[in-house]
Amino acid sequence: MLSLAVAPLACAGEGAQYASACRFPDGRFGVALLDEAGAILRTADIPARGHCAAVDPSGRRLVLFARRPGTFAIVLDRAGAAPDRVIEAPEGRHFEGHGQFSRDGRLLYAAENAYDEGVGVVGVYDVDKGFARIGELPCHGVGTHEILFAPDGRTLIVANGGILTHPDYPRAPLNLADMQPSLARVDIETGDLLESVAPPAALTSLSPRHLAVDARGRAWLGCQWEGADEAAAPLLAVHAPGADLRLVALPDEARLALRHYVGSLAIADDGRHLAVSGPRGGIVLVVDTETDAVVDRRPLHDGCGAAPATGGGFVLTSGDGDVVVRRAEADAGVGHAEVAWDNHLRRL
Amino acid sequence: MKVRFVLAAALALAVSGGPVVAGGEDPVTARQQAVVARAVEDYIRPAYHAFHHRTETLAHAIEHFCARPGRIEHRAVRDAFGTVVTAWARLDFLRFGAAVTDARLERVAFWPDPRGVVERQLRQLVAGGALERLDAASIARQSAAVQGLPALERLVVVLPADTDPAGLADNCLVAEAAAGNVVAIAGALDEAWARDDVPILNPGPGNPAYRSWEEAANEVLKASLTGLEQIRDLALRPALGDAPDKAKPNRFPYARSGETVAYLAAAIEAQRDLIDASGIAADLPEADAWAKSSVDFELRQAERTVAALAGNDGAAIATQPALRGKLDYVTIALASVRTTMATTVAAGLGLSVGFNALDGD
Repeated sequence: MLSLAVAPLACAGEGAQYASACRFPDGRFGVALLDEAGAILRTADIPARGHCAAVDPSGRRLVLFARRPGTFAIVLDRAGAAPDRVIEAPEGRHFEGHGQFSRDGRLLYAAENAYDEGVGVVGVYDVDKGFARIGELPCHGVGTHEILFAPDGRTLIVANGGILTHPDYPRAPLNLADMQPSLARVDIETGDLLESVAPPAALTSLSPRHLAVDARGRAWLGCQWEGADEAAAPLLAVHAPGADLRLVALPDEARLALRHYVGSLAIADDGRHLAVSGPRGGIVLVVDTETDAVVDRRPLHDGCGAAPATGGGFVLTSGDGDVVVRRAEADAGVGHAEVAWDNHLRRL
Repeated sequence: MKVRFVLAAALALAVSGGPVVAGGEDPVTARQQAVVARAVEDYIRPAYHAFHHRTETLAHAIEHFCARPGRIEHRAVRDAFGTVVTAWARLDFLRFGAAVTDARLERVAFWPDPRGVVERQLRQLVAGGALERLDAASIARQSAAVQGLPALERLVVVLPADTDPAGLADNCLVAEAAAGNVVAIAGALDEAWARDDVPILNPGPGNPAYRSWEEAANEVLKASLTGLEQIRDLALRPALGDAPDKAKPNRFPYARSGETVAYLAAAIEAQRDLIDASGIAADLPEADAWAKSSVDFELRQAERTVAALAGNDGAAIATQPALRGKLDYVTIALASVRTTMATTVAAGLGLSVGFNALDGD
């Protein structure tokens, strides 16, 4: 009897944990830790809508960034031992919703909008100094969204969406006629631009927003198309250091199903399979990064969050509260929580 | 459940190669089709058509004024500009179809502009000289900021009292090109929407923009939500600020020309007209029938409240507590309408507004 009662807790404690921003049924916003079954293990309230978490290398601590143009980030300890802390963006900057810890866990890098200058920057925060902001790196572009480390741990891959915004007009794009999208590789020691690639001139309305790195160290980009509805715009691209940006032509049916928007990317533990979520189209695709082939399509209404599942495949979340474990073109588990899961899911 | 079944049925047809029809047998799809068809026929097409004609009147007025810069001629420019602004208020929230091709929306009206790009680009253009060579076609290749209504507002609609003739000549060269460009864009929009093969009226598996009537109807719903949000978040809040001493009245749309109140009233009326014309809030189940009259009432109240501000300039509206209070009421009413549209009205149309799907991030 007793063992039955404690077993679920023990499982919850030992299995993989995930973090996602969410909205509770009463309209409050929060961040939640959950397991693959969709059980919520811990929640914390946050002042406004969150976006994506950065997880430190130990997996014990995470930082949940506000959705743009928010100016807060919440530090959360997995075990709840350390007091939670709020990081505030400095004057003239707001968070873009994404960030990354350094490999040694000592520094936190946050994608930020320097809106008066109209450029993207990366704020550098010192973990041991109470997350004090100790510096800033240029993103060499505008409208920075997701940032991710290259496998070398010292090159930051930066998705510069190319869209200017200003917090006075919170989410309005200000330069759709003149977008400047790029993927930049930035040296985190010097801030130097190591490499920058951009879509061809005919596709300047293509905004790179989300990133994943495969086993071969290539950066995959999930994009949003801001141009003509009818255009057959590619939404996926891949970049290997030193090479040109390669646009990936998905089959028409898969591309159309995404409705011009990739909400998040995740690479499976095999380093090969890539989840491409399309919340507008209500579908998650799995792409084999070796062949560009779409090997799985999982309809998921308002499905956006994606992270690697332990044992292969992906955990997928939706705005309807669904939590799906998808493995080998089949559902390995379907759970549900009474929250709306936000855009991004991260494994601790 | 029903929505998913409908979609599955539509996809099944798509796979079998048959046309995706709004079959009489499926009431949800039939209603979605009817809403889209009426939105296009009774709202979108007439609105683009009216805008096109008014831009032609404005271009003529500018031409006359520039040929003979007198007070009466300038008055005609101001009047024509006002009618173009109110016509555009009925369209500037339609972020789909021909408006997003070639960035037409931004080229007609580069707005919002918190960083003063219109001002800066116009100065650069004039300083660069060789303005005689500008025409509608060549200005279309310049920055979007110099091509449209905010540029015209600065060039020929609002003139400083001591305007010198030489300066006006430069303004006129740019304004005539920009006005011609706006006519060309308005003509292209009018023509594109008049076509029978307009994508939103022909959903199907081969249509890159809309694969089903559900997606097409969702676009109409999204347009309504965007329009309601845009008045609040782009036209009102940035100018009002959090308090009177934080107000930035020059951020009201068309504040320079004094067309702000007319723009706001037209924009709110447009929301009610789109809802009426499309029938999107009509024919709801009996338990939800309140939604139509509620939306109608709140929009009429908001419209009346804004119209009562006529005669006050932006600075007064943004700083005098009594006038600010009226706009605070308007923002609350618009938010309430938006909520009703996103929930009750959306559900009645077999749609649900996704938490992650509405607004790309």
